[in-house]
Amino acid sequence: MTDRHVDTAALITEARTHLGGPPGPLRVGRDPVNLPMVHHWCQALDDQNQAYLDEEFAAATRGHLVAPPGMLQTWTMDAPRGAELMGSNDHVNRLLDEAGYTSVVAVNYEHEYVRELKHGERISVRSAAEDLSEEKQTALGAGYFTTVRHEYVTDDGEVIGIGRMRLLKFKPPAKAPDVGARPTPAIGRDNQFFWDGVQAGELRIGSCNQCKTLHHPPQPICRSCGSTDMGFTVSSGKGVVYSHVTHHYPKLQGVELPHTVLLVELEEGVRLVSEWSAAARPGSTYVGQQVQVAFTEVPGGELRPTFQAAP
Amino acid sequence: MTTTSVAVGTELPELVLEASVRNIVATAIASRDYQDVHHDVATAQVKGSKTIFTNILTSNGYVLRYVTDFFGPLSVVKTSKLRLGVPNYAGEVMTMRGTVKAVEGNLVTVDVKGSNSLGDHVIATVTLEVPK
Repeated sequence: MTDRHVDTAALITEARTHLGGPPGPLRVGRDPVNLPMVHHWCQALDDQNQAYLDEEFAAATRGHLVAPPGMLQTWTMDAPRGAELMGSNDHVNRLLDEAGYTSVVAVNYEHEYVRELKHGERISVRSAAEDLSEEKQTALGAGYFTTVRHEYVTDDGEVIGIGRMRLLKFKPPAKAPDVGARPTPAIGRDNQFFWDGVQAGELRIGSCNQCKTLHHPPQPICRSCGSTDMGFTVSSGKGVVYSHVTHHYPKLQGVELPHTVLLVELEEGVRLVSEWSAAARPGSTYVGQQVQVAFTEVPGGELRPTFQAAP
Repeated sequence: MTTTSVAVGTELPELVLEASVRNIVATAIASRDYQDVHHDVATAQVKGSKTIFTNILTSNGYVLRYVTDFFGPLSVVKTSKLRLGVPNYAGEVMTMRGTVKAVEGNLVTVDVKGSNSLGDHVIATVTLEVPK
């Protein structure tokens, strides 16, 4: 991870100059108020209010269906484009993000629903921070409290709702989570050479002394000729990613999640299951990626044969 | 429900809401909230949470559903004020309880509390217009 220099104090000072100033740019809702999104919401929350769902009832009582008031903010939110979520919409929170206070916990969430919304209305929002505390030490880490006022408007500029969110913006913990120690391997007569190799900085592959067939994982009998006369050869440690899978859940002892499991095909022709070196994990993993073995520590401090992208 | 059938102190029936992983993800996406702490267990844990938890738009949505379920589809919510407490983690069961706090003309104010095994997740005050 690169840690570029950030002048936190200057960013916070700049943030304070925006308090009481004009709001950030108008954020226009991607889609107008519409029935499919109302259905999605009502099904997820099991809200069966006829004013949102029953056209006849709504026509008789209001003239038209209305949107659930709780969806007000939803109309101006958007699905992520690519990997990035939308950033903060007001100047103060944008600067707090830049200063590294990127994690958010909402403390208060208040709304005034000026009137009900009907389908077809496009909603936009303007946001401005109203206050910014001094830096506070909280249970979650160092952070700032700020209240952001959101003004929701139609295309005609009619204010149809006001939101106020009091947020704690804090720096996410930098420390890796304590995942415990990686379980130790079961070492016996058949695979002693492999683990001795790890300590010696060699990737040793089981080899039949009779027919020279290579075997991994280590085994007592050659599956090619049946011989029990087994030795080993030292691999170059060069190979390619044959396959990979990323494990997210459930938790595993001694494994930081998400964890990419690599199936590496060594240039000698055998495959072994491994992982990226923690210190040299590349940004992406793909089949055919050139890799090189590296003997590195896993959680708990033991050495394992891991891989890094080949230079 | 009408303003004449409630009075200050009227208690709303409890509503029990199970916060399954599916429910937390479904409600977060229905509200277009793609913050990873509402759908990605591993990332939520790296960020210091026990697991994924209900997003705030949903907590607000449940509070409003709770009062409008009681006062019926003719009621119109005017304001909601939420104070957020403990997280509503996946696996929790949140019970909503509410009491009528004030009745002024056709405007009713309700205090709502949503609690789970960790304590109060949401403490809210909602005002709504209710037919006479």
